[in-house]
Amino acid sequence: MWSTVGLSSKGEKDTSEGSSATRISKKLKLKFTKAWLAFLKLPLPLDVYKEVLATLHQNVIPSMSNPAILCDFLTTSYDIGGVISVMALSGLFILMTQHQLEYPKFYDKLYALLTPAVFMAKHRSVFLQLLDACLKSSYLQAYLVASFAKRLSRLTLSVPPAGALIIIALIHNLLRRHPSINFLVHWEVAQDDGVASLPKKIGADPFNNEETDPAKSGAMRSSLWEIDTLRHHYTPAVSRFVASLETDLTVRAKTMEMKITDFSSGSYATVFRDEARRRIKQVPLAFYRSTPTSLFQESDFPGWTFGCQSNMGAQASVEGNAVHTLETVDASPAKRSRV
Amino acid sequence: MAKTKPTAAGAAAADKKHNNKKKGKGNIKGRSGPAAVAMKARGAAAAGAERSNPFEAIWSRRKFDVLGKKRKGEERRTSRSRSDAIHKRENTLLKEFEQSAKSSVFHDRRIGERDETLPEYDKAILRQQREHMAKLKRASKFNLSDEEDDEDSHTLLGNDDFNEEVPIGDDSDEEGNTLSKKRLSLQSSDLPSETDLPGETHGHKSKKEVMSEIILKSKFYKAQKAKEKEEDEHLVDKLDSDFALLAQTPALLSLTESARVNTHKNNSSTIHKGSSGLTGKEIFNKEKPDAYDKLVKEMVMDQRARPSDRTKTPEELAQEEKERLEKLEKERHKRMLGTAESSDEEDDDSEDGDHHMRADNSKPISGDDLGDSFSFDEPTKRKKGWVDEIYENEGRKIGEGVASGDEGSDDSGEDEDEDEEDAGDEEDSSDDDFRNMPARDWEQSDDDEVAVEEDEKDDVKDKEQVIGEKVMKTNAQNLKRVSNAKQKSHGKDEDLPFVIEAPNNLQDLCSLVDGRSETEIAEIISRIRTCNSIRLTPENRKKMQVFYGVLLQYFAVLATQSPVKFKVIETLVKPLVEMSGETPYFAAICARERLIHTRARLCEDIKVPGKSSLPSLKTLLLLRLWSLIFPCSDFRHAVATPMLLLMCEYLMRCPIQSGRDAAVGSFLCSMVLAATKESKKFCPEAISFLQTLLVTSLKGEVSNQINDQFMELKTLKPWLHISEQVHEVNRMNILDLMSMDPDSPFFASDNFKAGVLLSVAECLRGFVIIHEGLCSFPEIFMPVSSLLQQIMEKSELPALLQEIFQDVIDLIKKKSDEHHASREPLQMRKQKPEPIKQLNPKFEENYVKGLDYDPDRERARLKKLKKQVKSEKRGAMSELRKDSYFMAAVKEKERARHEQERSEKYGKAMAFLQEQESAFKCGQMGKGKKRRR
Repeated sequence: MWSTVGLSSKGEKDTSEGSSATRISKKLKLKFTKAWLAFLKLPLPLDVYKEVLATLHQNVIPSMSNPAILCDFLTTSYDIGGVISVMALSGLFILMTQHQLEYPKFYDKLYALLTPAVFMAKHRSVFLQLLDACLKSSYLQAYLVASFAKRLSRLTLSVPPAGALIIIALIHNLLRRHPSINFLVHWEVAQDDGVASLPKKIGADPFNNEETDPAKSGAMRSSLWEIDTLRHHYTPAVSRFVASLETDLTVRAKTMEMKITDFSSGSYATVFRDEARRRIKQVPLAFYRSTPTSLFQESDFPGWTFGCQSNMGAQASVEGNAVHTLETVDASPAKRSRV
Repeated sequence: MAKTKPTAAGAAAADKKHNNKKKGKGNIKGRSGPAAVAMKARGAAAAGAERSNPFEAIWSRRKFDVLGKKRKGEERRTSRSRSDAIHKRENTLLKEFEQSAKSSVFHDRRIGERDETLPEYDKAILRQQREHMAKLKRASKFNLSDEEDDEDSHTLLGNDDFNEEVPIGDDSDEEGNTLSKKRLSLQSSDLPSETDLPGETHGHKSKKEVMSEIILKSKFYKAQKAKEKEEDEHLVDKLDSDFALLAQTPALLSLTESARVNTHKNNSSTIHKGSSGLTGKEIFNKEKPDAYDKLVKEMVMDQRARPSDRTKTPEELAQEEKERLEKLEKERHKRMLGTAESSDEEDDDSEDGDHHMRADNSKPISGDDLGDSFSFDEPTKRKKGWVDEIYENEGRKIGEGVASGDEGSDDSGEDEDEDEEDAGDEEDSSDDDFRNMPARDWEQSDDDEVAVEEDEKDDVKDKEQVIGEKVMKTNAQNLKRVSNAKQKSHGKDEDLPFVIEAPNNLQDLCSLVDGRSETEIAEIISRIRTCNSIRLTPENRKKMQVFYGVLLQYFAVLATQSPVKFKVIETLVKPLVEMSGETPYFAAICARERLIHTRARLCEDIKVPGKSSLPSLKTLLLLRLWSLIFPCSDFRHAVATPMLLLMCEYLMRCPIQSGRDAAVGSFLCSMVLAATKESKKFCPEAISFLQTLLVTSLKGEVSNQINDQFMELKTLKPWLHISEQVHEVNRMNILDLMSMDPDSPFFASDNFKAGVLLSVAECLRGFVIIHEGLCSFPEIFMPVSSLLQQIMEKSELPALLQEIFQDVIDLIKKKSDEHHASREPLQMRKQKPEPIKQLNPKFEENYVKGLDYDPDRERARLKKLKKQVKSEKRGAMSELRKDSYFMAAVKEKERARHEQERSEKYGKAMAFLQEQESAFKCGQMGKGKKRRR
């Protein structure tokens, strides 16, 4: 309904002629803006609030006479945190890029927004694209970019596979844009003098994930081990994609930036579909010395029993022996089920 | 020399030999001429004497042989080749030169003149034939033929075998007849000729007579031959009849009988058998084929006995088995690392990736555009419709279930229903799902936008559809047969039949196994499998595939029955695993389609708030079955990978809404653990789910989260908070749990909570052990460890649990410390040291001179072509040069001739004049005077 208002104002502009037309449209715009401001001043219920934020940047801002007026609304929304911030970011981004809005500590807030939940959120697609756009500038400080990269990589330890794919793409872009953070993936070892020839060992990760200020996160002394961990990810797409970070991204001529739009709409659905729709080339089967006759072997499932309903009362009490058996069981899990 | 050019060009290719030869004069030892060889061959053909003329040849004597050196063209005959070249030029270039000054050309169109190989005599024959034909064509009776001509022709022809073609003299009478007539007359022309014979036999026989004589003779011989043949046949017939008579006599019969017995006994008496077989055939030719004949034929067809391998000893068998397993293990390991078929997989990846990206590009904001729309009234309407639809579906399902009455058909009906409706539903639901829940933004927005994409069907999908249709059909039949089948099953007697046809629908199977014990069911299945083994006939493959599908369905049905017959299910495991080995593709397709279907159901369930979306027992059992059938350790597997994805999706997206959910989720985690154990794959979902479960055991302190991973997603209530001290911790029985109602008081009991916590801790321990090698192990597990610590402090755990928790904490601490001690910063860009370029000479085995060893084939080819062009060019040039020499010589000769002529004339004239003068000087005296006188 709001969009229709916006559209009709434009429509009238076309029909009327000359200066009066522009005047009318200006008036209409003014009224439109006023109406919106009045509306936004009302205490909105949460769902309406979200709806407003979701539609503001596409349908409202273009038809406003002075979109900068919205900056208060958007900045307060952005400060709220959580999903509201994510949603307010798109409007704020327009104001910042097109209407010269200055927003202090923008990156700090953006940094704080990066939580695992973002990668399950509904609006993640737009948000992630914006995130990539915000980090596009090559004038960003190295510490900031390093913090972002490190934070994103830390997220890979808990996000779904689609999220991991996006993160790898984002980090790829960051590494390419900012050769100064190349140390995150490659720690140069001076080979000349014997003293420094031993690679410097970093025991605990100096990066502090809880720190909200990217300047103090300690990412500049860290390394992206999480990316290395992803090589063992259970989704083949992810573990293969990690290899894209192995190419030397400091040589700009040889590399391409990844398009975030290619990944940002990914979800379990897309990953699952890609795997399930693969052409079946060969179907290797599991092999056994003797074909298993039962679905569950208790040795494989510590902490569970699979007795029949009848002997419900006779559940094995595992008081003392559980500790001992499990020790041995876990030591040779593979040998027991196969070979 | 415009004239010579075409000649030269034409000659260039063909007469390479010439120039080679000429060149050879300069460098005798150099490149040989194929010319010499060719010439040699020609020389051999032309005249044998020439070849041996040593004065014509130039050769070089070798002191010793050099290995691998081509030795052709050592000898060349320069003078001969030169004369050949000159001769050739005389025929071509000179002719042209002579013609060049002339405006008209004389074409010799006489018959046979063009062909130079024809000898004069043949030319004459040709001409004569042509003339004769022309005469026949004229077809005029009144043309007088001149006898002289004919006579000539015959004398010319002589005694050659032109008998048929060339008309014989006596047709002179019937000159002017048509050809056919004449041919006829030829056959019947014996008589007149013979009558003529005596009159003219004196002296020499005429040609005509000779011919007729020959013909006569040949005819006589032919007749004689025919006669002989006839006689032979008669003889054979006679012999046959005699022998048949003889064979009827008992003596011979006994002989053949014994032979038959012999052949029965051993095959070695082939000679005897062969002869007797022949006789048998001869004898009973006119009668029916004998049993003996048949026997012989059969024996021909029989397979010879082959020597078989000796029976293996148990040790050998064990050894073989061990080797086989080792091989399989090696392959599995390769697949786990993803190195096998990585290349084509990568191709696929890129392809698929591209495809995927493109598909996404087309609708890049499909993830969230739906939430942005302003249309409000529509969604609500849709929402209602959608919810209603679900209820309707369920209602229908229930209704059907009631109608069918039977448990099995109920489930199959349900499955079918869903199958059918999926297509319809999913389009709707995928449209709807965002509009339905605009408010729940943090809710998972992973959805089934892709669940069914009709246009993305590949052939596998098609195949599956075909099978699906088949199954559908059989299910449709199911409902009809319900009553019949039941009666049948009741009426059947207890003992099992030995030959059981593979049931092709669930109903048949149910009627077969209803009321049987586990061992009997196992027996039934094994009998069906042996009776319809794929190895017997290829048609059985289809049968067994259908049976496999039915069995899988039965497996699923059993899992949905209210008192779960777990033992029956277990009996199905072995045959299912083994049968999957027989039809791996079919098994994979079945599993995949079911997975897709299950995922679609998950997407639907998640949208219904308050409904537990975690997998049912049926799904759990199926997942477990597949993880037994297919190797989960593969880097990428057609079934295992989607299955693992689905399990993780359950863990990630499903909210925990009851204690039961917590238990099921925990069990799912241990299933994931079992699946990833071997390949040590990293499943973030499972670990965060376990973490969530641990958080739920903290009462009230949830707000103080260690990290906020998805906690908002799961409805966090202290499901697992243990309020009172429990003394005993029991392992949980998943089957019991699954059959219990989610609201059952058992889930609130501390016993249950302690059990779940136990399983969680054990599962965590498993993951810790698996992931000890991961680079970011401390980052993954330190939060877990601190959470455990917190729980230990704040809740009253039983002693055993405390012990296990402490154990896990210690384990994590130990491993983390190890990591902290040894971890190094990444060095992903480390380049491998490049080897210094080696300049060692490379040696070629069996080197042949002249062969191009360039590894770049294209370059070698180019080089060869260039070389050829160069040599051709050189050849053409020298050819042209020689042409010009030749022409110069010719012209010089001409000029010399002219000069000579002129000087002769001049001399004559001078002589005449001098004579005159001398005569004049001496006053008319001398010669003239004398002459006159």
